[in-house]
Amino acid sequence: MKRIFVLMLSVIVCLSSVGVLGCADKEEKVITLCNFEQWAPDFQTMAVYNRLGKISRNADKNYVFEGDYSAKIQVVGARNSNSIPSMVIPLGSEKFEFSYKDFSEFDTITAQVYNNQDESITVSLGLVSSFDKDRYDKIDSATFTIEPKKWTQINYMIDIDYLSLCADYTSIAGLVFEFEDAGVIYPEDGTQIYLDNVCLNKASSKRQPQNFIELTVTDTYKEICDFERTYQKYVMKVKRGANIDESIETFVVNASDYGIPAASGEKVLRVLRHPYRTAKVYNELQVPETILKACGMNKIPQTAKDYASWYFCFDMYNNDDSRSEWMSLWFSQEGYTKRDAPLKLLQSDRTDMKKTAGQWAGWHEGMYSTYNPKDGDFMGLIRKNGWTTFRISLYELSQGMEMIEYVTNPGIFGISMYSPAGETDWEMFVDNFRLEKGEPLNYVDFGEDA
Amino acid sequence: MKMKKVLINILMLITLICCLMAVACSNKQVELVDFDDITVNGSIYSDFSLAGYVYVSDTDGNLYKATVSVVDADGNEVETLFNRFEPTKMEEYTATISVKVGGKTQTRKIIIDVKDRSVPQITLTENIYVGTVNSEYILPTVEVRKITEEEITPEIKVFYQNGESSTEVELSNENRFTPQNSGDYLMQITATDKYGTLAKKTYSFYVRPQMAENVLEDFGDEKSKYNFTAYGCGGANAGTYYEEFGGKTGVVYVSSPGSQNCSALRFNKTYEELVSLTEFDNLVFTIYLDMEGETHPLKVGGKFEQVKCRQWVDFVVSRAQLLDLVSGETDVQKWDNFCKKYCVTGNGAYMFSHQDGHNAMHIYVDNVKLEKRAPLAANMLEDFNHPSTAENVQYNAWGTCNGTGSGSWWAGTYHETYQGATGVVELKAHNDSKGYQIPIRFSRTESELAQIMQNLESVTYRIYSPDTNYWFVAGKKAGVVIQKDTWTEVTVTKAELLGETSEADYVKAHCNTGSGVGNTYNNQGRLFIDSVTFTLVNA
Repeated sequence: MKRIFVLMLSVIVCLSSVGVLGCADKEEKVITLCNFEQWAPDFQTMAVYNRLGKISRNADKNYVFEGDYSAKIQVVGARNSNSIPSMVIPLGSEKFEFSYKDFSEFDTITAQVYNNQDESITVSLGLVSSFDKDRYDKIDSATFTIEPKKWTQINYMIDIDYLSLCADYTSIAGLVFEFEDAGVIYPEDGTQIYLDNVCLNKASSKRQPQNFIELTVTDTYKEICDFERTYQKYVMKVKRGANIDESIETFVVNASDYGIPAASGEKVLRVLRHPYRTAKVYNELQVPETILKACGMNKIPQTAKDYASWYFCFDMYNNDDSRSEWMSLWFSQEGYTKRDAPLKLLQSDRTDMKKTAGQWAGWHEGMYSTYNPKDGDFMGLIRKNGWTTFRISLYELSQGMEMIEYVTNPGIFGISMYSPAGETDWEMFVDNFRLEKGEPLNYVDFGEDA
Repeated sequence: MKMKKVLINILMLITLICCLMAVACSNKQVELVDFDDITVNGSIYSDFSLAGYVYVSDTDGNLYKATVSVVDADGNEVETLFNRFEPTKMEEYTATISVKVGGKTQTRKIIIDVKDRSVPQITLTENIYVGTVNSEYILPTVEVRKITEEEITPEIKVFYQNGESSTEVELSNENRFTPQNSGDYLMQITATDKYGTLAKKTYSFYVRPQMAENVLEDFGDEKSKYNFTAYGCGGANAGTYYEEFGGKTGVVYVSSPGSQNCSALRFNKTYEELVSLTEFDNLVFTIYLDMEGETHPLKVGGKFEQVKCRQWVDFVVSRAQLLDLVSGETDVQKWDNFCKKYCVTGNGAYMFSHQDGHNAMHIYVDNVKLEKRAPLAANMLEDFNHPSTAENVQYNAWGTCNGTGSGSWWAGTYHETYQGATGVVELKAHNDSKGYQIPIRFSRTESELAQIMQNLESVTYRIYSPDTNYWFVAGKKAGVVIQKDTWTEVTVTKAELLGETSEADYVKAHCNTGSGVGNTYNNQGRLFIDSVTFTLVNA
C-alpha cells in the first residue's frame, strides 16, 4: 500500500514538474531588450536619425503594454528631404555589459506598438550591421501595418540564411525602427506611437545558415558575383559614411533599363552616389568574406605560375560624361579594421608608378592609375561612359608579409568612393566579380614551376 | 481502509489538476491575433519582404511559424527567396500565410497592391553656384525620375532668406531670376506622382554683392572665400578665411604651418575657363605675403616669382602664361612635383603655391581682376606702366633663361614708381660668385617683334642705377657705365644688338627678343628701367 502511494506520488510530482517547467522554460526563451522601465540603457543607448522627432518615457498607463512605462515616440519627419525618420536600438553595450548580437541564437524579434492616430500607419523593423551618430547601415527590414488605437505585436522573423549572405550574423549591431514621415515641424503635431517590450526570442537550438551560394566554375573562370542569380541581389554590402541621402545606394537592375550593355549577362549593380552637403563622405562597397571564400580562390594551387595566371577581376561603368572617378581598392582579412594592410605588400618595391602600372599587366585597359605607397591606397580611374575592367593579379596580392593569406584565406574586398561634391547625383554600375585565368604575368620568375 | 480511500481520492484530484495544468500549458485553444486578411502596398521592382508575416502570435503572445507562398494576379506561383520577392508587374500579388495550430491549419491572405510607389527622385543636373546681385541667376535643371516612365513636372520655388523672414522670388518660365539682394536663397523643389507620393528637396545658394566690371573676385563678401580652395600638401593644414587685414576689407587668407610641406591656393575656375572669360591681357592678383624677410618665392600659374613681403603688391599672370598652361606648354605636374596630387587632380586653376621647409606661409588676397592694357605708343617696346610688365623683365643666372640658376643668388622684378618715373621695373640681383644676364622680353607678339626687327634702327633704354655705377652691356655694344642716381638713356643699334657676342647669343637663343641688359658685377645691385623705345629705319 505504502509502495503504491509512493509510486503515485512520484508520478504526480514528476508530471507536475514537467508541466510547470514547460511553462517556465518558455519564459526563459525571451530576452527583453527594452521594456522602457529604466532610462538606462533603454533610452540612453538609442540613436535617432532624420528628424525623428521626440522620444520620451511614458508613464500614462493607458499607453503602457506591461509594467509602468513605455516609450512615447512623436515622429516629426525629415521635412526637406525624403530621408526616413528612424531610431536604432543597439544590441550590445560595453558600458551596460550586454550583447545580443549573435543572431544564431534567436529566431524572431517581437515588439508591442501602439498607434495613437485615428488611421492605420506603417512601421518598419529591421537590422543594422553598423551605426554611429550620423548614419546606419540597414541590412534587412519588414514593414508592419499598425491599426489605430490598439496594441499590435509585431513579429519580425530573423532570416539567418539571408543574413549570412550580406552580414556577419554573429555580430548584428542593432535594431532599427523606421517611421513614416509626418511632415510637421513640432513634435506635438507629429505621429504619436508608443513602443513597449522589444524582445528577442531564442531559437530552440543554435542555428547554422543554409548555403545558398551557387557559382559557375570552369578551368579558367570562377564566378564570385555576377548579379544574375537571385541570391546575388543581397550579396554586396554597403558601408556608408553618412546618411543614405548623402552617401550611396545600390540596386541590382537590368542594364538595358538604363540604356547600357551589361558587362556580362543582363543584370548589374547600379550604384547611385548622392552628393555630400558639408563634410566629405567616404563610402565603401564590399564583397563580403563569405562570397570571396565560396569562389574557390583559396583552392588555386599555391605556385608562382598559378598565382601569376589568375586575376581577381570586375567591371565598372561610370555613367557620367563630366566626371572621372577615383577610387581605392582594398582587401582585408579581418574586416575593415585592417583595411590598409593588403596593399602595403606593394610598397616594398613598387614605388614607381609607371613600373607598377606596367607590372599590373594592363589591368586598367589604357586608363591610368596611381598607387600611393604612403597612404596604402590603390587608386583606379573608371572610364567615362563605358566599362572598365579591373584586374588584380593574385600573384601581386599574395606577395610579401604573409599576404598569401589574402588568397588562401580571403577577407573583404572593398571599393571605396567618396560622395561627390556639388548637388548632382553620380551614377555608376558594377558587374561580374570573378577570378579569371589568363596569360601569366611576364615578369614573374616561376622557378621550378616553369 | 478509509484512510486508503481518502488518499486515493486526493491522488486522483491531484492527477486531475496536473492534467488540467498540462492541457492549459500545451493544448489550450489557440486564438491567433492580427490574422485577418489584409491589403498592403508594394512597389514595383522593389523587394517585398514577408519577414513580418512569417511568425504569428496568439492571444498569449506565443509565436507560431507559418509557411508562405506567393502568386501573381494570374495565379502563377512567384519565386520567393528568404521570404521576399521582387514584384515585376503593377498588379495585385497574393501571399498566403499558413500556420498549423492545435491540429488544424489556419490561413490568411496578404494582398500586395503593387504600383510604382517609389519616391520620385529629384536630382539637379548641374551644380548650384554663387550668384551676383543684378546678374541673372539661372537655376540648375531639375530632373525627376521614378522607376517607371511616369513624367513628373517639379514645382520649383525660390525664397530669399532674410533673417527670420522668407520672401518668395518670382521666377521666369525658364526658372531664372535677377536677384536684387545679396544673401541666402533657398531653392525648394517638390514633385508629386500620380499616387500622391511627395518628394521634396531644398538647396541653398548664395547671392553676393555686385562687383566692379572685370573683377573676378573682390573678397568683399564673406562667401567670396569659396572662390578659392586652399590645399596643404603632404599633410600641411591650409584654409581660407574671410577677414579684414592691412587696411583692406574682405580678404582671403591662406596659411600653412612651417614644415617640410607646401600649401597652395587654387582658384575655382579651370585655366580653360579663365582664358575663355573675356578679352584680357592679364589676370591681376592683389596680394600680401605676410612673411618675414624682404622677398619670398611664390609660384603663380606656371610662373615662379620672388614677391616682396609685407606689402600689397599686384601679382600678374598674363594671358600668354595661362594659354601656356592650357596648351600644356607649361606642365604643371612637372612644374611642381610637391603639389600635383592636390593641385592638379581637381577642377580649378592652380594659382599660388609655396614651399618652405621652415616658415609658415600666410597669403592675403584682396582682389582678382582681368585687365586689358592700354596700347603702347607707336615706338614703344615697353613703357612699364603696367604691373604686368614686371614679368617682361626676366632675370636669371648666366646662360639660362627659364631654369634655375646655380650658386647663391636671388633676384626679383617689381613694378614700382621711382624717382619721378611712373611705372618702372626694378631689377634686383645679388650674386656671390658670378655675373648676371638680365634679358628683357617684351610683351609684343612674335610677329610684331619680327616686323619691328625688320626695320629696326636702334633701341633706347631709360635706366636708373641707385646703388652704384652700373656696367651695361647689350649685344655687341661695348659696355656703357651708367652713372648712379641719374636717369640715363642708352641707345643700342640693331647691328650692335644682334652682334656676335656671347651675350647676344644668349639673348637670341633663350629669350627670343634680341635685346638685353646685363649686370656683370658680383655684388648686390638694383636697376630701374623706365622704358624701352625703338626707332625704325626711314621712320
